[in-house]
Amino acid sequence: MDTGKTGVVLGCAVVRAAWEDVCRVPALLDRVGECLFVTDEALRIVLANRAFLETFGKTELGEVVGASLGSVAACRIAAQHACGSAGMCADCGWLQAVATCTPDQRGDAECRILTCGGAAMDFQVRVYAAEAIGAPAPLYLCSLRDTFAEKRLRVLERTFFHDVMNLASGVRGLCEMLVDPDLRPEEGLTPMICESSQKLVEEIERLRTLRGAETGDLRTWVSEVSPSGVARAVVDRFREEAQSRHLQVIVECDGPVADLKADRDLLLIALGDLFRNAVEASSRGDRVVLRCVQEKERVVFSVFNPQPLSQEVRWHIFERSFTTKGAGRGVGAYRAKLIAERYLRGTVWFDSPEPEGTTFHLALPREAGCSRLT
Amino acid sequence: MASRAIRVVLADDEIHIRYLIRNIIRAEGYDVVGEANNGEDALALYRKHRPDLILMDINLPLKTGDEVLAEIMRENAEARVVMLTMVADIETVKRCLETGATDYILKSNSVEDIRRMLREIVEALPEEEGT
Repeated sequence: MDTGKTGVVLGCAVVRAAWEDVCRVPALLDRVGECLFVTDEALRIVLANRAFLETFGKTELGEVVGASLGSVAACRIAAQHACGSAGMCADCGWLQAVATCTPDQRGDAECRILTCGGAAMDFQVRVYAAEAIGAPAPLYLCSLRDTFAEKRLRVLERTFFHDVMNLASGVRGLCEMLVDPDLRPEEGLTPMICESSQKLVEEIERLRTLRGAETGDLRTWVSEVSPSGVARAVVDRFREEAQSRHLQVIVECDGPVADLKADRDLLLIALGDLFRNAVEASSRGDRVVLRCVQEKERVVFSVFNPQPLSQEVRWHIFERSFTTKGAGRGVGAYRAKLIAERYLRGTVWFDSPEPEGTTFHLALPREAGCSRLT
Repeated sequence: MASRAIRVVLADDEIHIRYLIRNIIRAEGYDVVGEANNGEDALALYRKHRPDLILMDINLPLKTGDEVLAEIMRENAEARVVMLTMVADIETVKRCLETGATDYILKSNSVEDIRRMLREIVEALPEEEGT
C-alpha cells in the first residue's frame, strides 16, 4: 500500500499512531467515497478522510483534528454549547449511534444537523467501536452517508402521489360518470368536474413552482396586487378544508392597505401554504385569522391559529424534508419562505408564544416585490 | 342481493370524492344515510345510524380514519368498515385490516371497478345485515 501518495491525513499524534500501526486504515479511508472519520472516547476527531473534509468545506486535516463533529459541521446547537452537552443533543443521531455501538455491534442512526447558516444536512450514520493498541480507550470509526437529496425526493414523491393522484383519480371518476348510463348522477356534476380540475392544476402548479424556485428557473410576473383581495382568495381556496374542521376563519385588514407590486400567483402560493398549514394544525372550533396590514413601505400578512408549536417543530419548521403531518405530507412552510424571500423580496418568520398560539408573518415591500422580473 | 336497502355512512374530506362515491353507492341501490368530512363527525354518524357499512377515507381531519376505525371496533367488533385509500397509504391500510377493517377500496380505481368491489363487499355481508 503506497501511503505516501494518498495524502494520509494527520491527527492527534499518539492516538493516530496507534491506530495506523494496528490497522493501516488511513490510506484506505481516503479511497472511500463516503465520509469517514475516527474519534477518541471524548468524541474528538483524530482522523478523517478526504470526503469528510470536502463535505464540510475543509482542506487540511489540521482544521478538524481535536474538534467535535458538531463544531466541524457548524451545528447551531454546538455553536452555543459544547457538542453533545445540550439537552437537544439527546436527539442527535450521531451521538445515539455512538452510544449504542459496541465492539460486536454497529451503531446505526439517522442524523440531521442544522447549521448556523440555516441549512440542514441529513446523514445516515454508522459507528464502529474498536480497541486500538496503545490507545487508552476505544476509538470510534464513523461513516456519514448524505441522505438529504433522498429525503427531498421522497417528500416530493409522497406529496405528488397523495395530493395529485387523489385529485386526478376523482376527476377521472367524475368524467366516467358522464359516460356511464347506469349512474345518472345528481345535479352539479359539471361544476364539480371544473372545480376539481382547477384544484388539480393548482396542485401541479404548486409542485412546479417549488421545483422552479429551488433550481432558480422560476419566472415571475409583476402586477398591481390588492392585499385584501389576495387574502380573500386564499381563504376561498381553503374554505372546504377549514369547514371540514369546523374552523372559524376570519379575514382582517387593518386600516387602508395600499396595493403592492408583486407576482400575484407566487404570493397566492406562499400565503396559501401558510394558511393551509394553520388550518391543518387547528383543532375543531379553532379560530384562524388572516390579517393584512400596511407598515410604512411594506405590507405584512399574518396567519394566526391557536395551536402553539413544540420546540422541535420550531427548530425544523422551515426545513425542506420536515413535516408535522405524517408520512408523505407537507413542504408548505419551506416553500412559502423560499418563494417569499428568494422571489418576492419578502421575509417570512413566526412567533409561537404559549398559550396564545402561532402566527406566521409574510412581509413584502410595496414596490418592486420581485427579484426576477420577466 | 339484500331485500332491504343497505345503509351506508360515507366519510371523506374531499367534496368531489364524496360526490363520486355517493353516486356510485346510490347507483347500486344502497342508501347513503350520512356523510362526514372529518373523523369526529364520521364517528358520530356511525353511533347515530349504526349503518350496515361505513366507507371511510384514511386521511381525515380532526380524527384520522384509522383512529375512528379503532374506536368503532372497540364499540362493535362486528361493524363493517371499508377504508377508502390511495396507493401511497397502503401501509396504513394493512394496519387498518389488522385493526378490523372489512376491506379497502382504492380511490384510483375506475368507477366500474369501485362498483364491482362495493357489490362484492355487500354480498359478503352476513345474512342478517344483507337481507
